[in-house]
Amino acid sequence: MGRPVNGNIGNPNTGSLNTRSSSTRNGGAQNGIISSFRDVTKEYTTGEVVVQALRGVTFDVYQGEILVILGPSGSGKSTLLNILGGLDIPTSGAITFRNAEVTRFNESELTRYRRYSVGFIFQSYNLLPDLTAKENVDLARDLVDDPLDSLEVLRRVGLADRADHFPSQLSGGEQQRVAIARGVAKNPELLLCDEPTGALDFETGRQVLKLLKDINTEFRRTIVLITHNAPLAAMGNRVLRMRSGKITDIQHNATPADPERIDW
Amino acid sequence: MLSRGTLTRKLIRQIGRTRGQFASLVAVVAIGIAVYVLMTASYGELHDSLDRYYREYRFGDLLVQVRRAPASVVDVIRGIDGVAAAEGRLMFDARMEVPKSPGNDGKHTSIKGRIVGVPDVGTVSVNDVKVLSGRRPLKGTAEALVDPQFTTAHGLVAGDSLTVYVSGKAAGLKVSGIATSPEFTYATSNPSELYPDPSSFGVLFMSQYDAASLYGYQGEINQVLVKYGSSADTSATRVAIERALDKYGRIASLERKDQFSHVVISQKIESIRTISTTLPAIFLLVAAAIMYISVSRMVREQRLQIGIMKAIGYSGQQILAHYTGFAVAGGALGAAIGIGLGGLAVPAYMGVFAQYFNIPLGSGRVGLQEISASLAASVAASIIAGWLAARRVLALNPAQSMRPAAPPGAVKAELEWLPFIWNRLTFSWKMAMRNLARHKGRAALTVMVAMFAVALLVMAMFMRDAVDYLFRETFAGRQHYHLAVNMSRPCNRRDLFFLKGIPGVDGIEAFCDYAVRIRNGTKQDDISIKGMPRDSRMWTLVDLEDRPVSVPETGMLLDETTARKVGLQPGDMAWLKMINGTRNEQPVLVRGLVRQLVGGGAFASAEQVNQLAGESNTFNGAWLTTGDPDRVRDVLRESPVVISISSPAERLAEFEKMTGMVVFMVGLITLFGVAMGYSIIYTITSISIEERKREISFMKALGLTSWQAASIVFNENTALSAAGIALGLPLGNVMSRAFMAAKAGDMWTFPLVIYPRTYMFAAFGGYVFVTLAQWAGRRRIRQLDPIAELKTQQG
Repeated sequence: MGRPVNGNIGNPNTGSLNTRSSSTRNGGAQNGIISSFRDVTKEYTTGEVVVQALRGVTFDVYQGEILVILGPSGSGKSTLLNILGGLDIPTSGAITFRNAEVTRFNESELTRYRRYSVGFIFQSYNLLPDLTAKENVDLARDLVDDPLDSLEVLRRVGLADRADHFPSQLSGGEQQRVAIARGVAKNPELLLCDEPTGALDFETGRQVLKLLKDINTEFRRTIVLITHNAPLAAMGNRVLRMRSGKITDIQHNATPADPERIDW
Repeated sequence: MLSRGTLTRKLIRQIGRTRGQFASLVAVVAIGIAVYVLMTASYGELHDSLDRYYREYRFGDLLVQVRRAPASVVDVIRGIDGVAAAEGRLMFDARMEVPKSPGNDGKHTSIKGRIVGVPDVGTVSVNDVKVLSGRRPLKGTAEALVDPQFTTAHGLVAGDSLTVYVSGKAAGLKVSGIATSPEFTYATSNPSELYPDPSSFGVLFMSQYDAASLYGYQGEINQVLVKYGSSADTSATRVAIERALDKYGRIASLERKDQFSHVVISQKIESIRTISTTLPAIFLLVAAAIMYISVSRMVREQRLQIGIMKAIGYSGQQILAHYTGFAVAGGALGAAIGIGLGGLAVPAYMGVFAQYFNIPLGSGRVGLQEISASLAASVAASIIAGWLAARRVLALNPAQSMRPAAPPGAVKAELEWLPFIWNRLTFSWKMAMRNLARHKGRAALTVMVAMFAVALLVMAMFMRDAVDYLFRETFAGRQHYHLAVNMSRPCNRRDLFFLKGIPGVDGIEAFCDYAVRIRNGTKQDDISIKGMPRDSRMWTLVDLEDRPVSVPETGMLLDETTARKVGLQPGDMAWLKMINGTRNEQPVLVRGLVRQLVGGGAFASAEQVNQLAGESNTFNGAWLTTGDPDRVRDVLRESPVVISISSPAERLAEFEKMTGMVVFMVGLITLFGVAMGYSIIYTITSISIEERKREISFMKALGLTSWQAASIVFNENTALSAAGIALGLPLGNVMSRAFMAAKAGDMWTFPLVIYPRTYMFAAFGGYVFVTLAQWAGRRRIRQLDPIAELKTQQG
């Protein structure tokens, strides 16, 4: 699979941050489907234990939306996100992205999918400790032909003055913002966030959520965010609830909340 | 377009963080490559220099010794098909004296000289002489060029005088300069001497005319030198030459491949070539093992980072290349350093060579070939080791790798099956044993490297032990006389009474020593046969079980090396012909084999040897015991019939001086062995500390001291090192045996002698490298902050 050809990729000449166009400013569910799961199951083995993480999951991801996947620990949401991001392969079922069947991708195609289409933000930030903030962002932008400028992205997340600091010299919130910058710098279509506020205090967590909202609103990135923290569901355009590897409910939020108004 | 600048920066910082391990790796590669470069460049220089020397000075292909022939016979030889050039000359051995002078203490006054006549007119077409300083001797001036080692040993300069004794008469010669020749690259008076002793042997190049005058050979020669044509049928040409010279009393013919100097230097050059491949290969293997262990560890430790990089979009191959890069960086840097060190050492090594070999040598250059081969070998080894260690990243599923690794499975240590031992172990030993059982591959690699390191130490000392034993046994263990006297002619009882009558002589045993050709079917060899008293107390012969034996009344005892060469066993009949004589071959029964460490040859009763020579009751040498060797020597010097005087004590003293080179090599190899052992133990220690830092920190938090907490790591090292030492000692014995087997057939038989102290030294060396590595690791343990480590998440 090559780099997806899409009128919404953005201006490759400027690599600027606000050239993505979208049919709806709110990134609403009225946009087309960019990814879908059809009857996806996943089993994996850890040591001597076999876990059935997903059981016949079916849903769609719409262009430009914030999709929140809510569920307690062990509900399968992280597994779902990993499979959506091409980090893992399902045991059965089909996943598509822009009409390409991801489940049929070979290793090389999966790598390209992760490289060009997906940006990840992890709960534990997962910055490389041997690299500075800017270098962590460069690590991602080095891979694509039309990345965003590292310093510009760091400026957008409020860390331009900490560009030369190593992760050990940054607070948790700052590390998470660097991780967001890294995820965004590749200009991916899909930003996947795994409990982005899980390791942060309330204020910092709120700042991170606001940043994600801005990215969705201004840069038209589709965001899939998983969390066990129920109040966070309010910021999503849609909320998928999961339990024991299954989707139990899908809700639409007509008016997604501003993260600054969410309390937890 | 993909840029790997960021990953490169990560790699550099990774190297910085693990600089101790990286430095160990680099050191081992550097040593291996330095040895390769040194030996290969030296081999190249020696080989090319020798080749050039032989070519420029027209080293002959064949030398034929005759009794006496007219000089005109050379024209006949030149006319034989296949002969490109021929020269005739004179060569004699004579007793020499070097008078006392400011540069010479006059102590060495009984010296053997080899007088070589050099044609007076035109260019010498075979075996020319290279004048190093001064000038060629002029005809009729009684001058001589002298070999460089001899001039140095006796402090001679141009213009100094020498005395040679010809038929008992003294003749004065003046030194006209210093020279050498391809024939005398390794100048010993006979093949049984282990090393050149310029204090007692020298080569003089005289005008052919003057040599002829001295010896009464005007218009005659006693040697013919030949160069074959490029398309000559050498066997047929040689036969034709020998046939043409038979009537002049042909004594011997010697092809270049059998010429002593050529054989010695060729073997030496060949052994350098062998070392240039075997030793570096061992070091590169060890380096590869260290790389493998380090990179494997890195990949395991950074599985989360690998998952992140895959999540970001790096391919497995890119990540594999990144981790392999650690190994490649070490290999390339080690190679660069090794090339530099090896190149620096070449001139010094050439200098050492020049002390023993008369070859015009350059300082030696490291060529592009050596550099390319070094880089290629070390980078290839690095890529292979790094790839093997890191290839698991290809299989790592990104999601799985970002999950914490499953806790290590329960593994029982082998010792747990022996409860009477296991129950007596402390907890730290139990932890160490279980961890070893969990990482069997790594443990096996560590033991293997430690084993090689210790074996290297054994081999290093074995070389010294063998040479030490060879000399002590030969000169002190088996030769029980103070002086050995050689005569210029066969002597009779009257001469024996004269020797007995010298004041100071306590005991005397006469012997006769002749050069013979021994033949068994088509196999033959030129050896010496010594006729000695059956009840000799001054020369001990031992059989193959090291039991003293006496020479038989009839028949002979044969040295095992000679016997092997010609395929003879006790009970066989050998055919012996005197080289300097006209008698035909005679059969002599081989009654037994003896072990002669130096020289080889045959031993029989004086009567048997006299019979072979067609003599009766004669001798040409004697061993003397005396309480005053100097006084006896003074008297012997005056005798016209004495050609040389030697003493085992002097030879042993010379050996002590000569062992400087052996000690240097032993020291160097010892250093290599310790460096190798240190590198592997340090790498394992560093890795173990990193893997167990939470456990160690926990134990420190519990209240144990750093040393006690570190015991879980150090006990592993102790167990692995003990296994390495235990296996390395016998491996060292095996490697020494292999070395000895490779040397079999050389001039000298290296005994497999390894003194007990050598094993103790090697074991101590093992203890040293383990202790040093653990000391370096202990520092790291002291630095561990329990609070920080216990709060840090895994991965």
